[in-house]
Parts: sequence; C-alpha cells; structure tokens
Amino acid sequence: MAMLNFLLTLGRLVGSFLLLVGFGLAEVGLSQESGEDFFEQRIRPVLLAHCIECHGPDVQEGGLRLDSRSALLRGGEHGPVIHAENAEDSLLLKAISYQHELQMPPAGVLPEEHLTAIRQWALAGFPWPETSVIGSPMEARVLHNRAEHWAFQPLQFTPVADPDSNFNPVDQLLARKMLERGWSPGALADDRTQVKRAYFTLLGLQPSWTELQSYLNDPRPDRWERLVDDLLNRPQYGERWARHWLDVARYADTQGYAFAKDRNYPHAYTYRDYVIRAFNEDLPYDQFIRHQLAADQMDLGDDLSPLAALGFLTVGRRFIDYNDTLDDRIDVVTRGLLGLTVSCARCHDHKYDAISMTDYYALHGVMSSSPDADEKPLIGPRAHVESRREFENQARAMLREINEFRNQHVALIKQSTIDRLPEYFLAVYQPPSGMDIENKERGSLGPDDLRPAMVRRWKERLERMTRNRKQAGVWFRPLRVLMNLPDEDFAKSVTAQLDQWQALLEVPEGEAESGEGWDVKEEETSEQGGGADGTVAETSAAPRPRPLDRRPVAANVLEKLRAANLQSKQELATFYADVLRGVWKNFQDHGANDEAVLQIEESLRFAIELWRGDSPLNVSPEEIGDFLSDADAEILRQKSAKLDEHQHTAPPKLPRAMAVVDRQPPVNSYVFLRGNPNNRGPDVARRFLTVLSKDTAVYPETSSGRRELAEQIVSTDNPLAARVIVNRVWMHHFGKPLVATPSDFGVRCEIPLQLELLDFLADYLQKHQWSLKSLHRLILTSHAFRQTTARSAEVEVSDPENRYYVGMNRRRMEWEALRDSMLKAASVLDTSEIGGPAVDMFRGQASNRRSIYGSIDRQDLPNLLRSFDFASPDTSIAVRPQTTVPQQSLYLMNGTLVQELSSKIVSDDNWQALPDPIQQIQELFRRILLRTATPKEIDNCLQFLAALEVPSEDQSKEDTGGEDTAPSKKLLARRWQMLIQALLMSNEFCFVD
Amino acid sequence: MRSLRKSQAWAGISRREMLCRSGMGMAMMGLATTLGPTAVADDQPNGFVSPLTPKAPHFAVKAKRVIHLFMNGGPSHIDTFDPKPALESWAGKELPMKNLATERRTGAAFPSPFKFQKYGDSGIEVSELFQHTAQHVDKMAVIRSMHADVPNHEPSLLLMNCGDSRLVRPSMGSWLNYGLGTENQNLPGFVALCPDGFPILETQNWQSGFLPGVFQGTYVNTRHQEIDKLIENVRNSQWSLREQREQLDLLRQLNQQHLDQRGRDDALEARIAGFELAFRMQTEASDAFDVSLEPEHVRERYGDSVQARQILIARRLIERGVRFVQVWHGAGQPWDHHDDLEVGHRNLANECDRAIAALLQDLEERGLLDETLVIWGGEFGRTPVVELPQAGANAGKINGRDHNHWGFTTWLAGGGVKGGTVYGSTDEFGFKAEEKPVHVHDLHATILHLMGFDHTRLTYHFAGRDFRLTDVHGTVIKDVIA
Repeated sequence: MAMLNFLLTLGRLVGSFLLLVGFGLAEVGLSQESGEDFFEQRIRPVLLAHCIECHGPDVQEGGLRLDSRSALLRGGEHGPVIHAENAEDSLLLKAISYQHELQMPPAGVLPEEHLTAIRQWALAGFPWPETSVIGSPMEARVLHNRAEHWAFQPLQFTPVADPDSNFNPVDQLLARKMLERGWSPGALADDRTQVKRAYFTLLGLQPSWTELQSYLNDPRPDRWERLVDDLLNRPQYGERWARHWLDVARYADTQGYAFAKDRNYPHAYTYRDYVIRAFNEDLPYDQFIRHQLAADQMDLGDDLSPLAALGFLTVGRRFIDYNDTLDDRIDVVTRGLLGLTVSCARCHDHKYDAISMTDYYALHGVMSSSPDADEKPLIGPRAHVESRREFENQARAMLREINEFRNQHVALIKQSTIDRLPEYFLAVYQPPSGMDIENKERGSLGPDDLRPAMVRRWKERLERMTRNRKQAGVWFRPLRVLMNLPDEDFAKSVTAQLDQWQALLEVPEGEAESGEGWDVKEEETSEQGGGADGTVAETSAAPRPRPLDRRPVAANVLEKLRAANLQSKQELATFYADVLRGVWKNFQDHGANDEAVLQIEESLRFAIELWRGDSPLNVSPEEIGDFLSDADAEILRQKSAKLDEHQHTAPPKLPRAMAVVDRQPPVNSYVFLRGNPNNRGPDVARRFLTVLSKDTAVYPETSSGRRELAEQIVSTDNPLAARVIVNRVWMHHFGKPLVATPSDFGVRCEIPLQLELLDFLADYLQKHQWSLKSLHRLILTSHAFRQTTARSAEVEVSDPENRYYVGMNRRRMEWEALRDSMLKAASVLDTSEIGGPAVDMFRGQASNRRSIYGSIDRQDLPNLLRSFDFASPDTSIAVRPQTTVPQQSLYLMNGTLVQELSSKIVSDDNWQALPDPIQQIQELFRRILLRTATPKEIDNCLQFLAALEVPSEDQSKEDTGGEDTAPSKKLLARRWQMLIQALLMSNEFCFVD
Repeated sequence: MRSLRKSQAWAGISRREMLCRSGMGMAMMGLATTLGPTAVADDQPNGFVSPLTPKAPHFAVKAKRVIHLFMNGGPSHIDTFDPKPALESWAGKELPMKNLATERRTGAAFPSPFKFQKYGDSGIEVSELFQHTAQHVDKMAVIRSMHADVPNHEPSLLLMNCGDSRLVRPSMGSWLNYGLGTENQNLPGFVALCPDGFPILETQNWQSGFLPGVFQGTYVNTRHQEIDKLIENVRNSQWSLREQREQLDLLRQLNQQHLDQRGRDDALEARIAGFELAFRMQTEASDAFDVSLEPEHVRERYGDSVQARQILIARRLIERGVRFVQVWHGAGQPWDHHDDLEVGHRNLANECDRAIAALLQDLEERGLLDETLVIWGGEFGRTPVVELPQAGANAGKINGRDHNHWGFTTWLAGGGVKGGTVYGSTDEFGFKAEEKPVHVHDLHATILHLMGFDHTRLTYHFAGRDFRLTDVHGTVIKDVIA
C-alpha cells in the first residue's frame, strides 16, 4: 500500500520525474528478488561506469562512497544520498537529474535509459543484494569498456549485396553513408591519375611512361584488375609496404646511444628483409604476428628465416635502464598490434582505458622472460642452417683445440723459464755460443734448448728495470753492474764494488746524485705502474710527493748481496733468480690475491707483477710459435692446417636473427609502485590484458607467454588485431585512416563514422585467411579508390575532412616514394636485389637502391630524413607528420641528389638525339610528369632555354665554356639541366592526385 | 576546405584552431624578413601555415627568445657563482658532514682556488673566473639551489634538456618551437651551436622526440666559418643565384598551372611557398652566421676565439628571430674537471667570460635583453671535496672535483627575470641544495612561465597521453620573475 500512496504523490513531482507517470505499476512494483536482478542488470553497471571512480574504495569525493547500500544510506558531506522511505527526495536523484546544485556525474547528464532505470530502482526502494559491494574502479572500467566501448565489441558484419557483383562492398558501404547526406560518389579519375595512384600506393614508385602506355593501350575490360595483380606481384610491393610496417616497428640499424661502444645492429636488416618477404609472399597477417612475437616457440618446418621476425621486439632503442627497454617492447606490441596504449599503465592505472598496472606488469613479466638470444641464431633453410652450424661448431672446436694447445704451451714455457731462470739471466749477459738473440727468426729448437726469444724478452726487461728509479731499479741495477765485471777474480771484484756502494750509502742524501759506474740518465717511473707497491693513498686528500731515493743501492740489497758471497756469475744469476722465485712462491702460497700482496716485503712487491702481469714470463698465445720446440711447432702447424682445410669446406655464410629466447624458468614481475622498481608491489602472473580476456588464465610455467600472447592477439575473439591492421592499410591507400588514431583504439577514440566499413574490412581479412593482398585487391578495385580528387563545393564545405569519401584525397609522396620515383624517372633506380645489409645513403654516399635499404642511425638521424618527416625510429609511429619547411626545398634545389639525377637525364644519348627542342621538351614531360606539355608550357620552357647567359665569373662554379667548340652548347645543356630539375621539383611530380 | 588542409592537424593544432588560439589574423602569419616580422610578402599564399609560424603563448610576457649557454661537463658552482668560504678552514681535512654519494670516491675538503668578490648594486659574489660576466650581475637571477637526480652526465643532460633522464622526450627548444613557432622562417627555429663535434649524448640533447622533426634543433659546428659547412644545402654548387631565380620562376609557372587546375589546396600552396622561402634563406642564413658583418668594435668586445664567435652568432640569430639558441661550450664534456680543476676551469672560463659579458651588454644596448632569456649553467655542479684517484677514471692527481647533482648553480638573465637576485642556497660547504631547493623540473616550469606558458598546459597528445616538458612535476619560482 505504501506503493499506492507513493503513486498518488506522483502528481507533485517535478521536472524529469514526470517521466515516471508513464510507467505501469508492474514495472515499478519490483519484488525483492526481481529488484536485486534489476540492480545487477541495470544499476550496478551504471554505478561502476560513472560513479565509483570518484566515489569508491580508492577515492571518496565529498566523503561519499557509492559502492554499497549502507554507504548510500550513510552518505557524505551532504548527508545521506538516498531516502528509502521518501525516494523522490533522495539527493541521488536530484543530483543525477541536474536539478540540484550538485550535478552528477560531472562529465554530463546520464543517458535517459540510465536515468529511467535509477528512478525505477528508487521507486522500488533501492533494492541491493545483501552484503554486495561494488568492485574497484578498474574492475568497473573493465566491465563497462567490455560492454560499451565500440572497439571492444565483436566485428559486426553488415550484409552487402552480392559481393561478386560489380558493386564493390566498399562502395556499397560508403554509398549508404553518402545517401544519408544526399551525396553520391565522385567521378572516376582519368586513367593516368589512376595508374599513378596505384603505383604510388602499392609500389611507392611512379610508373614509367612505357608502363603507363601499356596500361592505356590494354584493350581488355579487366585491365585494372590485371594491373592491380601485376603490381601486387612485383617485389617492389613488399619494399613499399614493409616500410609502412617499419614505422610501426620503430625500425633502426643502431641501438641508440652507446658510450665508446659499437652502436650498430648489424643484423637488424634481417628483420627488415623478413618483413619485405612476408608482404611479398602474402604471409597471412595472423602468422606475421605470431612470427614477430614467438617465431622461436613455433615449429617453423624447413625454413628458419622467420626467426628474423623477432626483430620486431628487439630493434628498438636500448636504454640504460633495462625496464625502459622492456617498456619499449610492451609499447610496440600493444600499440602496434592492438591499438592500445598499455605503456600508460606503467606508473599508475591507465587514465582512461581499462588497463591496470597489473595488466602492464603481467606483460612486463612476459618481456622480461624473453631476453635477447646470447648468440643470435643463424637463419635460412633448415638444412643450410644445420650444415653451417655444424661447420661452425667444428671450426670452433678446432680453434678451441688450437687455443688450448697454445695456452698449454704458454703455461709450459712460463714454468720452464722459472725453473731455468738463472740460465736465462746469465744468457742475457753472456749468450751461449751459437745463440743469436737479436735474430727474430725462430730457427731450429730442441726441446731442452733455451729459448732465444725468452732471453730477448728478459734482456729488454732487465734493461728497463735497471734504469728504474723505484724498487725494481734498486734491486736490479747491481745485477747489470756485477755481470759486467770481469770473470776473473769475480768474487774479489764483487766485494770491491759492494764496498764502493757501501761508501756511497754513507754520503748524506742529496749529494749522491750518481755513483761510480752508475749511469742513470732517464727517470723511468712507470715501470710498475702505481699499484704494485700499494702506496697509493686511500683517503688522504693532498698529493704526497715521494722524495726520490737517488742513492745507487739500498742497504738491504747490499746486505743480501754480501751475504750471498758470490763466487761466479752463475751464482749471481742464481741469487737474483732466487730473489724473484722466493717472492713468487710466497705470493702464491698466500693465495695470489690482493691480500697476498701485503705478505710480500714492500721493497720487493714490484716482483709480483713480474709473475702475474706484464712480464717476460707471460707469453701471449699468439706469439707462442717462437717458443715451441720443432716437434711442437709441427703439431701446431698441422692443427692450423686442418682448420684452414676445414674453412675451405665452409658452406655459405648465413645471416642471423635478432632473436629472443624464453628464459627458463620464466619469471613473473611485480607491480612497480609509481613505476619505481624499488617500490615493490604485489607479484603479477604473466597473462593477457584483462579487458580482452574471457577468463583469467595465466601463462604456463614453461613459457614466457609470448606464444600464448600471440594466439590471443590473433584470436577471432579479439576484434582489435584485425580492426587495427585494416585501418592502417586503408590509411596508406586513402591518405587518411578510418579511425583517426591508428595506434590508439582506447575509450578516448571515438566511434568512427565508417565503422561498418571498418568492420567489414576486418571481417573480410579474417575470412580471407588474413591475406593482405586480398584486402588490397578489394580496396583498389573499389570505385572509391579510383575516383577523382575533385569534389563539389558543397561537399567540401560540409565534409572538410572527407569522411564520406565523395572523392579521393590528394597526397604528397613521402620521402622514400619521392626519392625512389626520382631515381626511376632518371632510369637509375637499382632494383636488381631485394634485401641485404643496410646501405649508407643518407649522408652524401650515393646509392641507387631503394630508400628502404638506407641505414637508419636512430642516435643521429640525418637532417635530411628529419626534415622530410621520416618516422622517428624511437617509438612506434602510426602516422607520419606532414610538414612543409624550406629545408625540404633547399635539399631539392641544392642537394646533390636532384642535381645528379638531372645531369644524368640531360646526358641521355637518345634524348639528345631528338631532332628539336620541342620534342625534347615533350620527352621530358612524358618521362617525368607522364604527360605531354601544353603549348603554354612548351612556350615557357623555350623561353627559359633561350635566356642563355654566360654566368659571371664569381657566380659560375663550373667550367661552362669549352675551349674550341661553341660554349653555347654547354650553356644550353646547363639550361636543360635546370629545366629537368624544375620538373623533378614540381608539385605535379611530388603529389599524387 | 579540402581535406588536405587537415594535414596541419599533425601537431594537434588545426589551422583554424591555430588562428583561434593565437588570436592572430592572417596578416600576422607571414614571414619575418631580415630583422623582424613584416607583412605578408607578395608571393606568400594566404593558405600557407608553417608548423613554425609564430604563435602566441598562454599569456603575454616580455621574453620572446632564449639563449642557453650550456657549460657541458658540469662547471663547479663553488668556483664560480656560489662562494663557500667555510671550506677554507677544512682544507685538506674531511668535512664534518659525511661526503654525499656522487659518481666516484671523494676525499677531503677542497676550497676554491679562485677569489670571489662582490659585484654590482646587488653585491652578489662571483669568482674571478667570471669577472667580466659579473659586471652584469644586476641583470641576473642566480639560482644557487639547483639539484638534479643522479651524478652522471647522460641522464643529467637528458634531464636538463628534455625533462626526463631516461626516456625519449622532446627537448626544451623543441617544446618552445612547438608552442611559439619561430619569428624568422628563413632560419631554423632552434639552433644548437657546438664547436668541433657533439656533446655527450650527441643529438639527443636537442631531439624533438615524438614532436614532428621540424622542431628538432639544427646542429651547427661553429668551428667552421664557411657557410656551406654551417648549414646543409644552403648554397648551390652549380647555379648562380640569378640562374636559380629563373629556374624557380619556371617552377612557379609549372606549379601555378597545376594549382589552377585543382583549385585551392593548402598543401600545394605551402610547397610552392617553401621554394620561395628556401631561396631567400640562402642569403639570409649566410648573413646570420657571418660575424665579419659585425662592426669591429663589436667583434672586439666579444673577443677573438671560437667561443666569442659562436656567442656572437647566437646574438645574430636571436636578433633575426630564431626562437631558441643553445650554445655548447665544446664537444664531449669540456667542463668535466676530475683533475686539474684550477687550470681547466680557468682556461674554459677565459674562453667564454668576456663573450658572455659582451653578449649581455650587447643585448641591453640593442634593447633585446628584455626579450631574450639568457640561461647559463651545466647539467650539474661539482663537489666541494676532492676526487680521489681511481684507475681508469682520472689521472689520480687529486686536484679535481667529482660531479655533484645534489646542488649547483644556474643563472638566468634578461627576458622578464628579476635581476640582482640570489635564489636559494646550498649548505655551508656547497654540497647540497638546502634552502629553497630548485629541481630541474622547477627550472623548466619557470623558463616556460617566462616564455608565457603554463607548463601544465603546454602539452602534446601522443600514444594516448598528454605529454609535457615537466611531466607531472614542476613549480614556477615566482621570486626570480620580475
């Protein structure tokens, strides 16, 4: 009865509440049970979508939450927002009807159906399932987006008339929209325009005059379809469309800034070549995606080339922080393939889209489980890869064996030298008979012979050491002096020398600049660097100059020498050898590490480096040949010969892929709170984006998830992959996309006017095995593609953006198409090869290959490319900017390219042989502009040619006058060249109608 | 209107929006000729809207252009603009505070070997290194409490130039060209001058990031004096100017006929205009870089060195309406004195001190100082303590300073700056910004404010986000604004 009373009061209701009058009792009188159903179906989604973000668990604007019934009853700063007893008085209803100072939601009044539902719900007493709380705003957004955002809805198939009829479905769908405006399609463009357009969009090249004529002269009714097929079958098609994809894939041949390191990606081109081949072979687009994400996880059959596709992930910029590199990969995958800006959720949930940080870090886990392959895999036919790999493995094994042999002998010669050190010391000063240590040829060596090369090494070293002012010199100078004493009465001479030194020692410091027999001339202070004696100050701030000890010998050395009681040079050599060997043994006994240094007496620490560092003992493996006995040298020779022989059997070299591999086991990431890895949030399992997932399945423990991710992206459950690619294809054919933001299909992306067409094309692609060539055929054979750019004034005013396609868009050639077309017009374009390593062509180097093969240094992108709106290789680019700046004109006017091409054309013999200037002009117009010149144009050109002038000296930079023959001929050629350049620079050449 | 007109929308600004937003009529959209904007030239089609066409900022301000004197490598603030006498009594001893972590190990206190004295009415102390520049201290706001994020060159250069120390973001000069366009279409709007090669990080310092490539800085190697080496393709090696004029007239005839057959089209018209602009740029640009055209007394004032020449070129460029000129001291990181700081800093300051003083005086005399914001600074400062020897990192001479991102000095002058101001301070030793710290983001916010922008509203929508120079940070320092 309360309900009846309530209805009686309806008459007093004002404003929008009057709407309720029309409601039948049955609709208002909801039972508790059906009331809860009503809430679930009609109310919860509205609250989730429009209210909870500001009035939910995370944020409570005005102190209000709207996520449970009790919260509504409790209310906020303005008191309760619902009155169960007096529903019409509820603040909630006033606010949403915009009848109160509070107008909610602030973004705009709710759609009428939602208002009505809430009013019905109010009248029923705000039924709300017991204990039910609405989830987080992100869950709300997910539900809402999934239910409402156009891009997440399944492809809708709009039936069209018989698709096999002549009425192309593209035109049918466009016509429906035009009809709404009372418009009809534009007229067909003339044949020349159509042909130029098709060459431009499919090949990125202008047709030659001959190519144009062969079309015009083709009598067959299906010549257009034949032309399209012909162009699609040319390899230049793949080069053209690969470049479009490389914009998306932020392709470059360098990794970006690398301090003092090689920044090149020598194998990046294999990715570029993969893409070219994929387009040329019409690889199904779903497979194209699978390869680029997970070729290494697929059964590739007999051709391992698709591994190169993984470059999609790896050719981006490398950052100092690896997480930035991973972010770049997440970004290229999500914006490039799905049209979703997932990277926005790196530091906080996405501002607009239903993409949470958890989603981001789920993919972060996938990427961090997919590191770059340590050794980039070989690619090519499996059999070739295997034989090459086997060859390389064998070669590597042989090389390893050789190296092991060398290293083994490095150790042997070291040990034998230590063992025979006295002999070596003696040999330095008294070479054994027959040994010529200055001769650097190795000569014949028995196993037990002293090695002359080793004697030579010690001689050089001892000479250096004995001039050293530091401890090495203090210790070793006496060796040289004593070795130079006569052999006779050696012991006596030694004693005399020692006495003399002893006397010097007693002279006060400073006066003993040089002693008898002392020939210190050069200060060699760098003998042992700064580290061996351990004297570098660790903490003191001020420099601590060390007074040089200029005395010839130290007391401790003298004392030891005296104690040795040397009787012969043999004993002298042994004495010194033992000093060193003692240090070495001691050092090794203490672990041979930096701590062990401290165990060595300070004055002898220099000797440590004589054992472990730059020392005559340590022969490099490369020079071991000089130290081998004849027998060992022969063994080494045989091993090397075997390797050489093996190299002769080498199968052709193969390129490598910039592949990634699955880390085993894969790792999960955790949420980086505010994007900071040191701010650890909850762990996140690897999985797909929530908003696109039907379930919450996570990726298997054995897989990074790339393979699964690829399948989810290309699944027919996901409408985005197909919508995104057909939109890109459309854009490149029509100069503008159907969806204005081709890499952002998120909620801020409005529903496109031509949604039916977009969906039709996406569906068409899926139904035609994802064949892009089929899609091209469909689009190019439409009337829409072939129509003129001219539109009526009325249409231009009403549809300035040409969203109805009552006419074609005029386009300016991109840099690549412009350059390549110019090369073609000059008949120098080199199309002999497809693919191959990047070519330096943007910095003055001349190359006649297509622009796609030019090397792209992302760290120092040539000004040329930058000023011609080249896609930045630092991030995935969907639409290139189009700017007009004088630098472009300067390049064409003064740069070498156009000058050289026009000079090339002017020196064409056939053209020069034409009988008169008018024919020559006509030939140039045909060649460059694909048409004949008008009488007025001929006139203009003739006038230009006639205005010959001898350039004044300061202006002419080239020899323009011949010595004997008419200078006018050269001057005329100069004029022709300028004319040709003008044609190449013209708008008509550069724009495609 | 044709659809192609929409191609102007790349910058997020359609032609119509641009006009509304800047409040300018067509007449304002023309070119600037030699020294300032004039009315539309005859051959200037009305439809031509370059991305670099001058635009009004958010609010009216005095500053129109920027000269950024970039002392790359990190000049020591305590040896230049931030005197720290307290270091004297700790010379050679460990500071009572713990040395803050910087790139390398550091040791005892290292007082400045340079003498400081008060200059100007404001009495701001400056060291002898910049004694000439100091004569103009009353024009400067010296921010002594700058700080950055990390003590390494690469991230700090990126932060100072692009507002983010890691990711690819547009540089400040690119942002200002995007926001303001440039006043002289015959010259690039953003020029980076550096003799002998690139600074560390190379062209990333003046990158346009996701902004269109036309906003990127144009690099000029000021070691060269020949114009052809200064600007690419600025001269034709074959045709005389007169021949080229005739050639372009022929081109015009071709293009005009093509255009007449098609009706109005902004893109076609813009490209026609582009050739005319380029033709004029050939002479205009040559003049801008030719310092020999300056009277002798002016050249003398600047001095005779590469620094003097490039700072004088900077003045000639901004005088001609170039929006942003960045002057780098040299290739690599010249101010990075881990060793021999005294000798090194003295040499570098000698190279540029007189020229900087001359620049400030010159700008004032020409009435350009109010319109020109001059910024001086590096990517960070240096430690008040000595750097300790480390193999491979320095020469072990123990007479240099390590990087210091905790505190350093940047000064601003001209362009609406409150002269004779000291803002903020470092601690008593000059290690760390203490009073009123100013992060690089705050500096950017302040610079944008001086140029007429609310830094939170100068945005560019890309990849689903509205990006800005200051990301989500930045507070304008009102106290340095006149």
